[in-house]
Amino acid sequence: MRLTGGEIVAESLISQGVPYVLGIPGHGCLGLTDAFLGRDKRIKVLQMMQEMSGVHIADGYYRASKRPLAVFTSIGPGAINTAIGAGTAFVDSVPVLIITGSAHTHMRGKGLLQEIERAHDDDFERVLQPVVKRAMRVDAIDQVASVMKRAFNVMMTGRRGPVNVVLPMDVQSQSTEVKLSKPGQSAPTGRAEGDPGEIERAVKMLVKAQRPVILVGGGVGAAGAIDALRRVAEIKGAAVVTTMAGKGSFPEDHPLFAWHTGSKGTSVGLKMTSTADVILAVGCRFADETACSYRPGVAFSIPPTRLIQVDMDPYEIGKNYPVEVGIQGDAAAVLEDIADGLEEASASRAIINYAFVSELGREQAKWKRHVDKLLAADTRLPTISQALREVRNAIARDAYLVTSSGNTQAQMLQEFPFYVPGTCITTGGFSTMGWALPAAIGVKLAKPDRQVVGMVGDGDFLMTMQEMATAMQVGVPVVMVVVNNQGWLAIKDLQMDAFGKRRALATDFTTPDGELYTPDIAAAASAFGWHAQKTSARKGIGPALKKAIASGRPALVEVTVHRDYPLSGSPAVGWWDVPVPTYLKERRERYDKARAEEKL
Amino acid sequence: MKHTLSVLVENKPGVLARVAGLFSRRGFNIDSLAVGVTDKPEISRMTVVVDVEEHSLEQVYKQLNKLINVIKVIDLPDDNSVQREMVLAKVKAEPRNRAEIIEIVEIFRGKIVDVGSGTLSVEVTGPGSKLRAFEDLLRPYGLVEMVRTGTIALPRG
Repeated sequence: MRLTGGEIVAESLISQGVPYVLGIPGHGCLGLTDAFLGRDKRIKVLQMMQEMSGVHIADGYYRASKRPLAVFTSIGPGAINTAIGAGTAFVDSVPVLIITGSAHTHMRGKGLLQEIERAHDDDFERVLQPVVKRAMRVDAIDQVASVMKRAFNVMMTGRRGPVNVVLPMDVQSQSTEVKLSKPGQSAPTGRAEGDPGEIERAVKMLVKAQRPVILVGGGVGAAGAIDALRRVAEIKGAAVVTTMAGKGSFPEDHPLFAWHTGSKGTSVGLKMTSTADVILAVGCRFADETACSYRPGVAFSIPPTRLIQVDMDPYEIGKNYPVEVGIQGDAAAVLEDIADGLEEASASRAIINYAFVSELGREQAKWKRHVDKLLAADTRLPTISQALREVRNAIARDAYLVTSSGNTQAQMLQEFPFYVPGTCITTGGFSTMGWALPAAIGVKLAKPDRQVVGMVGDGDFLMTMQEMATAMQVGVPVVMVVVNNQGWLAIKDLQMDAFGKRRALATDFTTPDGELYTPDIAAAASAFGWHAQKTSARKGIGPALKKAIASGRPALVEVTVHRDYPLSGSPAVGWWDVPVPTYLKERRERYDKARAEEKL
Repeated sequence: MKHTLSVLVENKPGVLARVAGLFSRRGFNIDSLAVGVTDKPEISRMTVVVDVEEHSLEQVYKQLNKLINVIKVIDLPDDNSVQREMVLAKVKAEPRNRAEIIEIVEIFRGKIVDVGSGTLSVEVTGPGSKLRAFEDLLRPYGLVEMVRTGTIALPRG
C-alpha cells in the first residue's frame, strides 16, 4: 500500500483500536490532519481549546477505559503546550500518544516560523524528554511505521507512560510503500509473573503477620488488580490503606478499609501503617507526602515493620524504604498468586488476627467521629467538607468523581468514600491544577452512561475553563461543581500552617483596594452554553447538583464556600517537610528538629 | 484468671449435677460449661471454663478427682490447645447497613442463618477471642439477641 506519513499514522492508530484523536491543526501538522479526512467512520477527530487539555482529556479517557488516545499538535507553542499534560500522565504512568509537528527535514535550522534554532536546530524532542516515557523523532518517511509500532510498545508495556513522536511536516505529506504490522505482534503476549520463590516467602511472612497492612498505590488500579487485592485482604484479614493514586482501588465501605496515610492522612491510616508488623506495598512509590517526609514512626516504621514490595518497575523497589521481599511483576498476577498461597495456608489453620480486625473497626469509628465533627461545623457558608458530603449523597453509588489539586482534592482523599473501585479519578504525583475539567470530559467520553462529576476550586477552574467550549463541541454532558473561596486556599492554609497565621501572601484573589474578588463563574458557564446554577447554602447543593445531572447538558454548580482558616480546609494530620525560613526563629527550630528525624 | 478444664466423666445420670455442685459449694465461678459424649458412648467430656486464682486451681483438681464418676481432669492452656465456641447473634440490619454486616460475617467465615425484617441472624465459630472481636464489630449496629455455646477444646499434638 502506498501511504503518506500522515496516513501511516492514521492507519496505525486505527489498527491499534484508538477511537479518538484530539488535535489542534496548525501549519506544522496539516499533512497529518488531512489524513484523517475520509477516515471518520474508523477514527474521530476531536478539537480541544488548548493542547495541554487535549492530553488531560486523553488521560481521563484512559483512566476510565484503559484505552489510550492520541493527541496531535502543530510545531512550536502548540507542541510545548502538551508538556504539563505529558508530565501529569508520566508521573501517574498513563499512556498517551503525543504527536507533534516539526520543521521540514529539508528546512531544519533555517529559522522557520515557530522553530527555535538559535542554540540547536529544531530540537523539540528535548523539550518533552524529561516528561515523557520516551521522545522519538522521525527523520524520514520510511521510519514512520516502525516508530508508530515501537511507540505503542513503549506506551503500553511495563510501566505505562506517554510517548512523544516528533513528525516533520514534509514527512507527513510524503508517501512510501508500506505494510503495517498487526498489533499484538510487537509486545509481550502474557503477563509478567513474579518470582515463585519470592511469592512463597511473602506468603509465609503474611501468614504469620499479626498486624498486616496492604498499602495500595496507583499500580493496583493500573494493573487491573482490584479483584486480586480484595481476595488477599479478605483471606488474610489485612487492613487496606491507599495512597492518593491508589484511592478508589478498594470499596471504601468495606470493614477492612483503613482510608489513607501520609501528611494529609487520616488517624486510622497513620495508625495502621505506623504500627504494622508486615506491610505489603503494591504499585506504590513511597512519595514524600505518603511517607510524611520519611520521618520514622509517623507514617511508616520500616524497620521494625517488615516490607514486601510489589512493582512492575524494579526502580521503585527499595527506592525509599528497605525491602525484605521485593517482587518485580504484574500486580494482578502477583496478588493472585499471593491469594492462592494464603488460601492454601488458611485451609489448615486460622490466619486472621480477629483482634486486629476489631481494632481496625474502632479506629475507623474514631475517624468517622472526626469527620462527623467537621461536618457539624456551624458556619454561615458551607465548608468544603459539607459540600463533599452533599455531593456524595446526591450522586449515584457508581458515579465518577474527578478532582485535581487543591483543598477539594485533599479533603476528598480524607472524607469522600468511593464505593465502586475505579470511580476515583484524580491527578496523583504531579498534582496538576486545571486537570479535572478536561479529564472529566475524557471520562464522560469513555463512560457516557455513567454519571461523571468534576469537583474543583475556583483557582483550579480558572486555569482551564475555556474547555467548557470543548464539552459543548464534543457533546459530552459533564457536570462540574466549583467550590468558590476566592483564592488558592490550599496554599494559603499551608502558608499559615507552616509559617504562621500572618504569613499568607499572594494566595487571596483581591482587587487593588483589598476587596475579595471573584468572577461570576456560573454566569460564565451560562455564557458558554452550559446549564448553570449558583448556591451558597448547604441545603442547596444536592438539589442543584441533581438538576444539573438531569439537564443532560454540560452543567455547572457554583458553591460559595467558607474561606476562614482552619475550616477552609482540613487540618493536616501527618508531617510534611516544608522548609521554614530561618528568620522565623521559633518555627525554624521546630522544623530543624523534625527535619533531623527524617531518614533519607 | 480463666482456665479451661477438660473433664472426662462416666456418662451416667447425675454426674453433671455433681460436678456443678462441687464448683458452686467452693465458690468457683463457671464462665461456660459444655458437655457431650465422646467416641466411647459410656464416657462424656465436660469442658469447663472456670475463673479462678492459680493457687485455687490445685484445689479444683483435687476435689474433681475425688468425685465418683470423674475419670480424668486435664488442664488445657490457651497456647497448647484448640479451642472452639459457636455464637448465634441477631443483629439489627437496615438496608443501608446490610452489605457491610454481610462483609463482616464473611471476614469471620460466618454464616447467615436467618433473615428477618430489619434483622440478620448470623453464626460464627472460633476461639473466644475471635467471637469477642466479632461481637465488638457488630455492637455498633445493635445486637438484638446473642447466645454462645460455651467453649469446647482438645489438646494439641
